[in-house]
Amino acid sequence: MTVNRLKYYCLQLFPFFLICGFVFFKSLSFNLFGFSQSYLTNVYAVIFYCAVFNATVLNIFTVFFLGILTDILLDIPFGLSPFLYSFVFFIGYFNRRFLRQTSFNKQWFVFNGVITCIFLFGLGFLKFLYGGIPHIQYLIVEWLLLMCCYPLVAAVVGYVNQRMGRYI
Amino acid sequence: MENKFFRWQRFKGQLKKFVPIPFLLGGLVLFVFTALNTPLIMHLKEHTISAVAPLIAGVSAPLNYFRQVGENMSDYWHVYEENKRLKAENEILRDWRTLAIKLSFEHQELSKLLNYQQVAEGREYVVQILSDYNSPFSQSLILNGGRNIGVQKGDVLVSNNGLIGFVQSVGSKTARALKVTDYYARLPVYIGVNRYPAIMSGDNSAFPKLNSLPEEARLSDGDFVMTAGTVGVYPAGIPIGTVKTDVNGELWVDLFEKVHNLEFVRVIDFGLEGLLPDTCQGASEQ
Repeated sequence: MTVNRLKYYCLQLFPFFLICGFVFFKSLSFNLFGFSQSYLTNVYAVIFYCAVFNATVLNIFTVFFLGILTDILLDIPFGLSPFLYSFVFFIGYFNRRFLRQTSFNKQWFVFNGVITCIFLFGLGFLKFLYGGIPHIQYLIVEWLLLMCCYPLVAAVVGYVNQRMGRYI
Repeated sequence: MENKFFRWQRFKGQLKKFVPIPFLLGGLVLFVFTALNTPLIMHLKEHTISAVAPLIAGVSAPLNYFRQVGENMSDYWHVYEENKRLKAENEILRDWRTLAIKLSFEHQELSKLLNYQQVAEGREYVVQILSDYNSPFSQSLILNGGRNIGVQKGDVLVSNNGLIGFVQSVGSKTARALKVTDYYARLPVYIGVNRYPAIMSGDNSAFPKLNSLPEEARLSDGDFVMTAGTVGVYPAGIPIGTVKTDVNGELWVDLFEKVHNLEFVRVIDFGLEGLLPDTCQGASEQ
């Protein structure tokens, strides 16, 4: 019973550690493909999936805290990530609570829309700050990759979500 | 009574649905009011980075090992071409050495004649890079050493090839350095043999721009760019890169050190005090 409970807690913390892993990997002294780090990370996919399918494993408090941690570790203007993470969580949560669109394809479509909004917001913010958009080619690649990677991230988090059900 | 209880429970359930909204608004307020790096935010960042530095160093170690292995394999693959290139370079360097020895004697003699005071060499540390931020928002480095090893704000970062940047803020165990490619990096430089003064300004891309050139300046691709040392942040004469012109006629600097994927840097304290103190530090000193 205790072991099952322990496994349950470990699996419940999985999205939190996954997000921390993504952020730490981005903050390391090198990146494998020479891409520049940007505000578009797989963290959005994890947050969106959890907000839609199991909001108890990753609540809004945790999402907000992770946003602050991301800003500090990735040297992003302070407050940008908590706002964007909360926005993604809000859309996912709103979708689950009010629209009840649980079909995966529809969720993917909504996620792509959210990411596009964030991408455009980021471009506007960069334009406002610096009067230009450096590394735009990398940003476009990351935006497209993020939209394509959503099923993969959803599969991993969904698998853990399913496993967790066995230990309740 | 029961009715009231259920109504309250229903109200609570309805209220719960809107929990993310205050956080969303809170995030927006935080973003709008603290997007600029205020001293409080800077201190928070320094303390957090110092706290998680051992974790980042621990995670980086095996990845750095694999990168090293990859680089070694690549070196073995290109060993023949590299050997040929080094032999050719060695020929050129021998000529330069002869010239350097001759100029060194000349310099000593002329210095004696003019009673010239040599600039004191700075204290130097070799520091590991923990994080290399190469994002559209900032171009900075986190160094695995802060006040504990004597790193100070304003210390200069160089590699064997040339200038990298300077230390912007120092924590207890880590320091944050701004690269010369950062948007907020502005640097007085001299260009070419005629030593035309200019301002080199980063724009978060790999090639900083050259601005404020004198009208009579005639530059061509490949002209040498080095620090001017006029504002007391960088000493004069540190090599930076060469001039590069684009199709629109704008002048850029092709850096000698590509300030990307570095593992170690030399941090030099030249004792220059051209940087302003932190706002809160300055206020407390007054």
